[in-house]
Amino acid sequence: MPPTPGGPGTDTNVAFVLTQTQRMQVARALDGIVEGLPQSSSVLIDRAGRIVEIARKPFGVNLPAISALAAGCFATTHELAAAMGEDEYSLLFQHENDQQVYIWPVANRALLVVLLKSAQANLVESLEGRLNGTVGSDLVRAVKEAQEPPKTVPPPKIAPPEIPQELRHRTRALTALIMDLQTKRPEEFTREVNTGLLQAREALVQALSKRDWRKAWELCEGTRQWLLMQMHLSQAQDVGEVLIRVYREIFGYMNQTLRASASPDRLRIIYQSFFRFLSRQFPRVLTSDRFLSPDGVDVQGLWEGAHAATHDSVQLSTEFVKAMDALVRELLRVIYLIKGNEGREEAVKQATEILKKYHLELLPFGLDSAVGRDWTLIPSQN
Amino acid sequence: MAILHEATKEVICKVVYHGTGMCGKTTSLMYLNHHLPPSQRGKFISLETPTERTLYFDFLPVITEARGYKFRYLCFTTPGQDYYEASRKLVLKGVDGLVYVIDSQRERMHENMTALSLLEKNLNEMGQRPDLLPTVIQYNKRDLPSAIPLDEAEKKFNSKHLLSFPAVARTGQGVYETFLTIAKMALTKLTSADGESRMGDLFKTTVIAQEDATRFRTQLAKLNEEGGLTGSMLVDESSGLLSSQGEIPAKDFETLGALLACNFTAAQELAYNMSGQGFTGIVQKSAKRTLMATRVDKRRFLVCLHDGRADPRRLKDAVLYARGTISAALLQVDQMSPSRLARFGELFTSVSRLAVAGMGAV
Repeated sequence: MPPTPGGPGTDTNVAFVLTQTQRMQVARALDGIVEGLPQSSSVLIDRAGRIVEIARKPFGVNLPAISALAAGCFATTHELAAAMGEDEYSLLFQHENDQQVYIWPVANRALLVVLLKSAQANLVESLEGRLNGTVGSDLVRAVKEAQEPPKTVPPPKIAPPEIPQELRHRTRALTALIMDLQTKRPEEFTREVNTGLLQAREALVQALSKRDWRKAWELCEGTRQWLLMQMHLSQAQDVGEVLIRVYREIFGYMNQTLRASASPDRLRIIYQSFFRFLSRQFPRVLTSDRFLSPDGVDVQGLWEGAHAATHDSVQLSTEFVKAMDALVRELLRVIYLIKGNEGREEAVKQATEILKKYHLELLPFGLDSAVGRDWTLIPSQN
Repeated sequence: MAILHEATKEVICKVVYHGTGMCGKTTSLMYLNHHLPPSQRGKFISLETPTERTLYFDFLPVITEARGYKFRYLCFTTPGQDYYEASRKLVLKGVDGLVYVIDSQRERMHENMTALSLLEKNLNEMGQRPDLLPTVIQYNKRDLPSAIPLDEAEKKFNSKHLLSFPAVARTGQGVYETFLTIAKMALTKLTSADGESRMGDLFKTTVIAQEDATRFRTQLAKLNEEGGLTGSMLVDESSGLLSSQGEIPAKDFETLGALLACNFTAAQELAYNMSGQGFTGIVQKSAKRTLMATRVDKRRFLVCLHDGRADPRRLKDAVLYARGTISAALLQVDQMSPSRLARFGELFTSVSRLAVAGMGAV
């Protein structure tokens, strides 16, 4: 009696169903295949590895295991054939103790596994002759004509919900923050912290599943603040707070460098030309030239001016970073003209150091790799 | 068992999703396949079966780069159905990171528990201590009404206080975070000399230096010439291709390596199940080509390709000779790998975050 796969939680799909007549045809064919071959047996299995019929059941072998393995082996062979541009491979295993296993595809629905226990050299040729003859064609016909049962288990479906972009951005940023902190401060991820994170994630998954975007947003923000508190880190409420601090320091350094070599009048001209040029690209951020003066760039003024129009810090932050980086790039270009390549490289180095200092603060907002991304694109020959 | 190619600056790690039948392992990989940008993933392979369930494994290579190194995470799923127990443990061979997927539905608790104990049994049988393997838990199907409370699930399945993630694989929630965490842990494991030295033999990292790569290519070229082969490959049974030479009729070497490795291990297990002994070789024949595989040592095997016209006696002699020389070279690689690996400790510590952060956000 062939073993029946199944039990709770497993599906009972089979590849095909044989009628009584077809079953007898298959049994006759399997007998015919190993007729006259000493100590040999033949098994028909479906391509999922389930035994359909056996002729001369071999003694002392775990047939269900062999069937599952043969099916797995053949399925990988089928994929291999496809990867190598072949139609199909037949398989032969040679054993050290004169045993041989022969696997042959039947009508693209089943596998014939023949176990041969003999060292006779022409055994495989003889077998192939039978498979290509009447016995083989009877077997193929019976399998080909067998009916396909209805499927009981549908294939898995992927159906991601349409999470609002800002929320998606925020959940990614939270993941990045957790992973970064895990790398840098592994000792602070105590069991309590991990348990807290697990509960927060669970609440987030539930909120997202119920499409409660507001709650999900609050959970992201709450988890971020809770985690930063656990790690004794600064808890900026708004991305603007962080960006203002970062760029204020960078522009402060650059302005100081320029002031050492250029008069205030010249600096005023430089900043005005930057404004004219960049405000066309970033009209929402560079709203007034009063924020650019020989005293430097008024980052807070720029942020507040732009924020007044949108009231959406997260949305504004991406454009703000691009605008500020464009300004950094222009300032670096001037530093290059005044102080040469060495001066420019030193300025990039200093600005990068400032960025590193603020890395963990930018991370929760997903901006850790966005700020300063294009600085190095400046052509040194300009 | 990770493989580190010094010459090509490639690191290959094997990540396995394990769990009871229909718990969401395949769905998790399918989600990654759908949402990672094409540059960061290879071909998703789900072996063709008539029943829509995992027959042997599903496979998805995930690729990322950091500091000039290319990191390839070969992600496999194990077959969940009890019927496939024999092939399940083959997929676990040489695993570097394990995601244990739990079906959160109350009525599936018994199966989850059985799958967990089978996992430990399978790892022990392969000489690997489960507590040394980087492992995370993915509590799947958290959106279903019959899902058990999370603290109850933790008590049942997480006595070792592993990192765990609630997830809904169907919608992708928690899937990417789980993967990023195990990818990072698998990489970090490489830096832990103590952890590495306590790994079972099948789970130790192989570091292939420039001179080894050259030596393997030379040895394979000699085999091709003397055996009348069109091409040959040296394959590791856990993580795929180590070296190749000649004409290999496939573009995606990563997938080819994984398929060959799984094909070979299944054939080997089949041979053991039948006779309690190994085998001299597998021969696969098609109209155009013959592919022959033979074991070199306990973890690697040689694959020879020819057009069916190779002289059997000449081929046999060439393979016998190549097995000897390649086996000796591999022995040297295994002996040198721990000290070579130590050189990468600092690098992997610094890139472990970058290597995963470089992946597209899902």
